[in-house]
Amino acid sequence: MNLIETPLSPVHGELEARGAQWGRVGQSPIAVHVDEPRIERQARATLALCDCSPLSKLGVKGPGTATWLGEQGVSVSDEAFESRALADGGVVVNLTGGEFFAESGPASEIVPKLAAHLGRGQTGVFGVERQDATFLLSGGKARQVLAQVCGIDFDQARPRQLILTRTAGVTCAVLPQPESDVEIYRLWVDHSHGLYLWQTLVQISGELGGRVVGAACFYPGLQVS
Amino acid sequence: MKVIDCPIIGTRPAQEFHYGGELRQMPEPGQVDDEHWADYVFNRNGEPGIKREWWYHLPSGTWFIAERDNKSDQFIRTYLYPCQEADR
Amino acid sequence: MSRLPTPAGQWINRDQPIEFRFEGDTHRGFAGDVLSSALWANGVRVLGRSFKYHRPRGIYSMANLDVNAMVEDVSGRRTNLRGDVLPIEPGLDVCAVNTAGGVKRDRLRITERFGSFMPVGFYYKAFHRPRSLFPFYERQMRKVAGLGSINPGNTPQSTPKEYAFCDLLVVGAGPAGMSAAIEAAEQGLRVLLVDEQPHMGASGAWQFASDEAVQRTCHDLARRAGALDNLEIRCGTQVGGWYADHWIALIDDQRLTKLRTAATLVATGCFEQPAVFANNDLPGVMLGSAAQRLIHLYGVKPFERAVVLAANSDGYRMALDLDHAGVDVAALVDMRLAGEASQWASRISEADIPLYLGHAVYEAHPRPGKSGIKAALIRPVDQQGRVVADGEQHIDCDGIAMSVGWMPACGLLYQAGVRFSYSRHIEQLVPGQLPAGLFAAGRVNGVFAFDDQLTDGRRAALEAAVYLGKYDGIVPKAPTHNDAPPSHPYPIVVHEKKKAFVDLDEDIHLKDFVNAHQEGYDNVELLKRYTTVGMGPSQGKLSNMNATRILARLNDTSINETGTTTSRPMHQPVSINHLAGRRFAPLRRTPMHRWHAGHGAQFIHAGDWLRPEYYRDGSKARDDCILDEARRLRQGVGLIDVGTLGKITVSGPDAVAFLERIYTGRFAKQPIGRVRYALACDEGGVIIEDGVIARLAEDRFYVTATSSGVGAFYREMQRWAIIWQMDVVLANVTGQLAAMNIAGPQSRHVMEALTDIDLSADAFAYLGVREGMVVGATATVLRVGFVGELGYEIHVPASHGLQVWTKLINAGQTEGIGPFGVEAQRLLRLEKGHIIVSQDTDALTHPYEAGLAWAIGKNKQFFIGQRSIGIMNKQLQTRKLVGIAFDENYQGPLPEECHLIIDGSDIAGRVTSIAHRSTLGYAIGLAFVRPDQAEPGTLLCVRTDGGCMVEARVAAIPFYDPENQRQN
Repeated sequence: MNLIETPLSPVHGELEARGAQWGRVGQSPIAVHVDEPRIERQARATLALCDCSPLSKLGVKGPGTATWLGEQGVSVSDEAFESRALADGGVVVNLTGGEFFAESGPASEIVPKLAAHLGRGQTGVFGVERQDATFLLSGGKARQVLAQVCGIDFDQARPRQLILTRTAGVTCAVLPQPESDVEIYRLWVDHSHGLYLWQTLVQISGELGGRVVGAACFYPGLQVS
Repeated sequence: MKVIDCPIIGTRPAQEFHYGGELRQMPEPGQVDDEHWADYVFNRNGEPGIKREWWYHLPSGTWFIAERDNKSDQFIRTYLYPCQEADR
Repeated sequence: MSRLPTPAGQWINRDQPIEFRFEGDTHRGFAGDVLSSALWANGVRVLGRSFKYHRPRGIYSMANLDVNAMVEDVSGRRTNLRGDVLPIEPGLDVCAVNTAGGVKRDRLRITERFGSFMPVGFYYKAFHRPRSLFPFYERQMRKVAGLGSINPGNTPQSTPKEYAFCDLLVVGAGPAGMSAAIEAAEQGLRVLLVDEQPHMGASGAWQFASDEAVQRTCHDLARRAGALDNLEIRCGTQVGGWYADHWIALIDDQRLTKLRTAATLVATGCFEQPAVFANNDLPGVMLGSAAQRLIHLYGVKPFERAVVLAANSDGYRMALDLDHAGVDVAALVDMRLAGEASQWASRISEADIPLYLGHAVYEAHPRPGKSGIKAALIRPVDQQGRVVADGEQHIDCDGIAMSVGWMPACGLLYQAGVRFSYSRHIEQLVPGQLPAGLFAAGRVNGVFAFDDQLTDGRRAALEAAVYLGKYDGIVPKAPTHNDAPPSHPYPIVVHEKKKAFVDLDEDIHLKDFVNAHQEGYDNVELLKRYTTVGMGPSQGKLSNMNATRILARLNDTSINETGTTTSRPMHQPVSINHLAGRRFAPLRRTPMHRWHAGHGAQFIHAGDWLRPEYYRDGSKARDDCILDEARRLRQGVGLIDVGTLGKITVSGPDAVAFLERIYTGRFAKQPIGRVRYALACDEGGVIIEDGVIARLAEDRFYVTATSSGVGAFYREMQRWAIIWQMDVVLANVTGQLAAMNIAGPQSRHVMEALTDIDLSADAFAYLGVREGMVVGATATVLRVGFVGELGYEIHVPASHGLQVWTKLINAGQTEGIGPFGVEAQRLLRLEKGHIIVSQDTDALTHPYEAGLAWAIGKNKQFFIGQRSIGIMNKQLQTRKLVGIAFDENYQGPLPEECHLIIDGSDIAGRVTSIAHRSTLGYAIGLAFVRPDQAEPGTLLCVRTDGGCMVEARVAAIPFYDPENQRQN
């Protein structure tokens, strides 16, 4: 498999250098493991950083989007910046002003389906290219990393409500997605800033004893191919 | 650093915002003489008082209007354009 | 190393001795010691030298204000560390700053002999004549000015910054602060309590150490504070500054914390203030609070035989502490005629301490070399408060402890905009009206009695809770001070001859104030700047109050009329490392960045982006590489990464109408599948942006913009869409898409095999746009001719950028494809005479000047800038952008961008773009010239570097392919 001939995460090279084991999301290679699974699981609970950029994404914008998404069977929240889970393990967020952002899970079913239906004569629905990098930050110390890069009071943040802010000086969307056992923050950043933010987060989480982990930590169904 | 209350996003530090100048009404270009047009283009009113200003929340791309006392640097209220009285 | 028995020395751990070095000598102290306490315990009395006269200095405050006991690491890693707060640790190896040859025999002590030639302000007057000597003076001054030395060989260290949040910040963990923090936390607030000392307690720990009831209360408070979940305690943390909306800088060893709090409660207490008398700076003369700190916190006996100078009950209590610690208190000298009315007076007589009411210390007698003191000379005070020679007494001692008054630690309150006024009731400044969300409690608020401080803390905490909506009950009133004033109104004793210091940081003595006042500096702000009082490292925390008292008396006015100087952040010096923090430098990279880096790309910063300037080719020179890249494209095919281009989608029913209002051109009749040049102006008719607009559908447009301008331009588009209330959907997809331009006569051939788009000249003509697949990626392909050849600009989703790029390069191997960088592109577009907005235009350039009249739609109803362009078009044009060229065989110097066009003695214009070498074989450029010089063939004089005048010729543009044959 020649990885260069596929769509790539902006931090693909960084994970390659760490000797990642690869699986697939759609056409794209995704780092399934970067370390021993046991070590990765531990890191997930203390401090872990994970690249999930290959998950497929889509933006839709326009006065007809909410209705159209409903017609496609995608349930969205009416509330500003509220997220809802997608049936394929992904997430869809109401960005306000008739704009929604969707990211599929690794099964990559809903976003490609929506993308294929776009532009078929609907009125008031326009696709917006979304190629954001997706990084997950998890563990008891995740907040300590965020405290160094992001001026948001996460004590007051509501779970599953998107925060559009700046991290390490660049525009970034942060979605707190706490699970029963661990705090998880999903960060979306412009593709062009992906490498910069990744390297910054790697450095800071490294100083705090964190590790880079593979996506299987968060999507156990992912297999090395 | 000051905090600014964006009507969409909520309260955030000023570094997340861009100042867009005072809210001004463009005169109908065909209806004014050159002098009045030039006054609109070039002159700004900086006298102390409560100003209606454009502010932009950078991460979300939201324009809104803030009423700010430029003497005490206090934000009085913010709202989306063009709502004014109705939002009080 | 002798120490007092416990309970003295609360902060040291006697089980943990530590060895350290000072000035090359090894000493021992205990964990918990600071440098000054450990040295004093070892009998070291000279800890540093003063700034100007290099007088020996010892311990003065023990309150992070001892700037004359400043040291630096021998390793050069840290400098200007204050001995009174520097913890000792194994391996610590420090020297005093600002000495020549060590603190004991500093050769610069000779400067004091010339003291009379160095009155205040002397350097303002002395060192400018003759002018020619100023560089010499400056070098000499730089040698003697400043304190610590900087080691340029230090490796930079990253000190992270952190954000933090709370409801209420309580500054100062003394009696008031602790009681406030507990009350606030019990009211349900998220509280952060900070103190600069390593332990809580503050004045409770040393000022009332002998009072068992107070000690029990303090321990109880500390215990309760520690037990509250919603109360975070940070000791060893300074508040560096208060900024708008309660934005606070917290500084500790490790980091700078940027705290956002909803409210701030200041319980910072007071700084004890010195008395002014002759030789009041010598080692052995110290504040009473310093002596108490030495005893109670570090277990160090400050003196063997002491004279106590007092003007308040604190001095009496301190004299008893000394007595209790085994110091022979030879005299308690009370400056007040009436003396002390409280119980402390009888306690002094019970302790058999000789009391001298209505006396003052007139002079401290130095030991040889001024390394300490051997006696105090005391004189009676008359009804006016002046000392009189009659009745002078000489008391042998090795220490003088002063307790004559206080100044509120008001820095943060000043920063928050609070004004202070002087209260004759307590002879101290007290805060006036506090702004919303700001509260003050305890001694900084003029409340001194221990129990009152606790009450005041609770009172302020409840007020804060009311402000934050967490409490609506009764709030008690602030306690009032019922005892004698804790401060003396004028603790200043004039000496006929000897120096009595007011400011130890800068060596400013009483005479300097008299001189400055005589020279007319009778305003507090002027006096401060002329004498530099309060401008040293401690920023006047031990001198401003006395300076104000002196000036008020010189002016014969009140303190309130005299006024005080304000305080700005940082409250205490902060290392630059802390301020710099982690140094975030955001960079944007295109998806093809890795490929570029692996192929010799030399990157330049273009705004936030990193772009290949050119690709290094073996040992070839930069200019040769660039020219080769350009030639390869003209002759065959080249590929450039243009991912940094601004990319905007404009959709919706009003899309056309919107674009027509934003841009100068016409788009209503633009066919689907066609591209048009687009120029945008601001309301003043000045060019701000250009790009192309591709129509993808009736209601869907794809717009490009300049890399550096797209952010601001998109923002303006959004604003106009709101103002005009148009039904249009905008999206800035700049970073979401990769873009590359394959250009050159062979580009079609290379592309053909890689796309399903019909590339034939008829199907996809110049200025066409097609959507289709390019090597497996959904692509928008534009036929544009920025570089003046057949070419395709390919836009694909960013994640596909690298694969498309790589496949294009691979597919073009047989045609000799090569990448080209920004420099080659700039040359190629210059050959075509295409302008770059913001390089070839400036903040005044309108379309007519730039030769872009053709891009303005005629008979349009409205576009931004239209009205202004109309006005300017009626006026006489003052300049015009033209091409300039040099002869093929011209060998002389060539101008650079921004070099001026000269006509006689006038500036006629300037060069905006220049290429010293081009594929045409001669140098070309663009320049603004006067309209009468715009005719091709006109000779222009250009002033180049060093004033050398060269001749250029106005040339018709485009220089290359004027018939536009090649891009079709």
